[in-house]
Amino acid sequence: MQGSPGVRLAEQRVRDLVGDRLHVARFDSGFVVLTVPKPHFRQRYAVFAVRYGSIDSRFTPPGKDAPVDVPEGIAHFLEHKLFEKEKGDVFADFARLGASANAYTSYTLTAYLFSTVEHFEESLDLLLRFVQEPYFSEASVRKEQGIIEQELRMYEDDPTRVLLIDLMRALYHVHPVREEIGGTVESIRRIGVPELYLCHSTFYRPSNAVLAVAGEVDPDAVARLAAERVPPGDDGQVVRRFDPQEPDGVRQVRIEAQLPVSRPRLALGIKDVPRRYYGRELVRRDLAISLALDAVLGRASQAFTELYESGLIDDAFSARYMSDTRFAHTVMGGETPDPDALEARLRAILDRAVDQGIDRDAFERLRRKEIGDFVASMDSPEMVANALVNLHFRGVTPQVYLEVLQELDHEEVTGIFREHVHPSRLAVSVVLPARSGNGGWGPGPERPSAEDGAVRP
Amino acid sequence: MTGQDGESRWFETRRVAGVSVHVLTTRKFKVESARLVVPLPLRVQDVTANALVPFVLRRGTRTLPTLQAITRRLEGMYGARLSVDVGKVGRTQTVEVRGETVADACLPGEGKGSRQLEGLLGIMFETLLDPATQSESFVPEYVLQERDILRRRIEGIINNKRQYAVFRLFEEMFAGTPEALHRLGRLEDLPRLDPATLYRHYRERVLARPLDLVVVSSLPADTVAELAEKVLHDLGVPLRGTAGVEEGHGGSREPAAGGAGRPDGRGVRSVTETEEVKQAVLALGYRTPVLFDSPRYPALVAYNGVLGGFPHSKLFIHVRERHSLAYFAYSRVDSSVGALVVSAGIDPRHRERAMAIIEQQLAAMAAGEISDEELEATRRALVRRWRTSEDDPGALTDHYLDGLLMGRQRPFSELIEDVRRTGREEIVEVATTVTPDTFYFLTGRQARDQAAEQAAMAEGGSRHDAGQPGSAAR
Repeated sequence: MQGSPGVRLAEQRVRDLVGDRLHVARFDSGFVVLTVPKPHFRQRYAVFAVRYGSIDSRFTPPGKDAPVDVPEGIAHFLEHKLFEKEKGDVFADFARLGASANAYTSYTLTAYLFSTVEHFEESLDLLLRFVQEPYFSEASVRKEQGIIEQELRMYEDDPTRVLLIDLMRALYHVHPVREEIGGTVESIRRIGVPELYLCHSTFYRPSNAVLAVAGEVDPDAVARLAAERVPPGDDGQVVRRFDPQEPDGVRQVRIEAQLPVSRPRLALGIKDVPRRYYGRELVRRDLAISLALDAVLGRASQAFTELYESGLIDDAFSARYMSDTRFAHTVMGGETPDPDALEARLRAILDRAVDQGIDRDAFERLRRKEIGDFVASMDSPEMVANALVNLHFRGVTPQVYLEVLQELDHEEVTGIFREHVHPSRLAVSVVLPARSGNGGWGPGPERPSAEDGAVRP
Repeated sequence: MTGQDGESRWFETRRVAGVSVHVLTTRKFKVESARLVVPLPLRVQDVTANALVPFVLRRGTRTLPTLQAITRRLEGMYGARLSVDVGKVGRTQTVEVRGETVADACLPGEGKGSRQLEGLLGIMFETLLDPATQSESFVPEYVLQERDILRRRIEGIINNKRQYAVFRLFEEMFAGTPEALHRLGRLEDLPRLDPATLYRHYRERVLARPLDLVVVSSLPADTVAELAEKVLHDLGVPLRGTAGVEEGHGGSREPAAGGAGRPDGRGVRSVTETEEVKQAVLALGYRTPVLFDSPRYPALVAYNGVLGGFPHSKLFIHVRERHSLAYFAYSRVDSSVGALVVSAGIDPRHRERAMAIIEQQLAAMAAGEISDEELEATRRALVRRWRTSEDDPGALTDHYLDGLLMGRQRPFSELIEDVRRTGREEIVEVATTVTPDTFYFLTGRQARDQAAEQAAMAEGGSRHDAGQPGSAAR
């Protein structure tokens, strides 16, 4: 593998992936390239991600001794600003190539991506270059503050988002998952050029990054280009991340907000045990709790049927477990006419499930469904690439995920679920209507047409 | 389509037992997807009943009488998916049953075959044609529960402020015509939709219509048609609608008004409403006579792409990037009704500035101020969007259905050729048809006094005059 001087390929493997093939290229620097060719597809999708998200607000940069604290929302701010260069906006460069670029920031990662049907290699080259060439100026930082302020205002009017952020604030005492990923209007005003450069040099390094590609591509060409564009390494120095010592219980059992919505919403959260998991064990716990929740509260469950028929929930009700290497929790809920009644019923349902365990038939049915869902997701290059990134940062491959899915048995699932659902780690978030508007309900464009607006994260 | 061995370039139609079966054969996907569609005329007297029917149907069939029974069956099929919806295209309302299942060949330990698709079609047809009933009526609890949920859905439109602003805009812009109706119907109709009335409506109105089945599958059209026929035969329910794509669905497709300003001959209407919002939303409505079946449609799509369809478009660049006024700023066309919508989320205090910048962009379009780079980026972006849609069974189905309902098929490959041939002149020509109609503004309480003042001015029928000099000259 000829690349830039000093870039060495440590390992290349090909694995079967439900009828497709996953090509893995690992470099000495720790950089990994994951490619799934999708012959017959026109779309080519690539995502470059770094393990750096909104919760990395306190860290010790490589080679330094003292930890630093940075303003909330800086990872997301950096994501916005990385697109801007001295000569202009990288979006325009992608547009010239016919590619559509985008990016997103989560609690734990920042991802830059593009989708294209032409000029794939030039687009990939551009992607790998622009994420490694920061250009920040005071003027452009100030300009972005206005845009991100409007983004945050938009979220403040979004009841689902308010419900979830409030829930995190009730569940967690000090963990940075309490903070809005984009920060606050006040915190982003404290972001300056030096902080942006510091965060970039700390986290945007090969050992902390991954490239995933899916679509009609040649995996060898992808790896070759990565070898040329990604530097040989970062002298093995690692960034130290600090998560504050999060107490076991919740911070408050109930939190309330008022918004101009048509009816109340409830989210019940369960903070997971303070132990942290990685790799196969993380996936094992994730699948176990996810399947258990589906068995207890999924659409085929008795509980869902009763709640639905009593009018306490509608078909948008959901119950999901979200896990990462540094935090994990369950969120369940939706719109409801009576948040208190729904909360009481959900608590009773959870108690009963802990008491009686998970139903064996339901578990087997849902295992099948999970396999089907996994296969179905392979039809989308976008979903494939994003899933590869997520699994990679959790320390597993898709094969491990499928193996664990086959290995799990329902006693084990019941055991893990019982440990997860503990009354001291439950909290609820409620959004109540505060409407005094002018009523009136209007129509709109119906089936989402192809002419959707351009909104970029 | 790639036109490889055994693959169809676009959908092929077969007729079986009162159903038009439209099949796109491709080996690209691991999932077989199907959609059953009943196109109905969009009318004020039927709109709410039509909207309620699919959600009641989803609750239970004759052999799977509960939601739980249906769900368990689907989960057992490796998580096959079934959903219902109601749609609206122009003056047509659609009742839809959608299904997805992993193809046999992609499942562990299964051979090649059509068992999954047959099972899926079986549940889909049964959902639409053979629902759970009680003595010549839908199951009463199902109707009452779903009616309540539909009421919540309609009331919940306001919860997404961006969509709500566009909904309100359409309601104002198309007042008094079917286009103003929401696909979910009207709150005031709900109380009279009792189980027996709704069942009668379903039997007499919904079942009497022609039926379309749109499938994206690895199987050839003839095989899918045979499967559909077998499933219908096993179900034993006679179909009363006569299949007929040529008959044309959905009544008149004349746009409510075309390119000549407001139908009532007045100037631009301005509507301002207040809610407790942190961010104000502008939704500006324009009319154009160019519809989906018009020869000028590709030029309109290109026009919209240069104006506000993408991150490289004028609205995004000027409203967001150059002036930091918004996080989202876009335009969108609805070619089933002849509308173009421009929308942005802004600080309520920046209304005038944002309006001025937006109007400058529309003026630039009409003046032909479109650079080669803007044109080329837009062409490429549209090609990418359509090619990517070919990789997505749902997008393929949507697009085929749009063509079916709007009287002209435009396969993606054809659109791509069209837009590659579209030049600046055609875009400018379309720009001259785009006329401002209604401007809707949703704002916060704090901006109320200012808003009231502006509303009073607008009531005078004067053209909204954004007198904010000195912004965004090219």
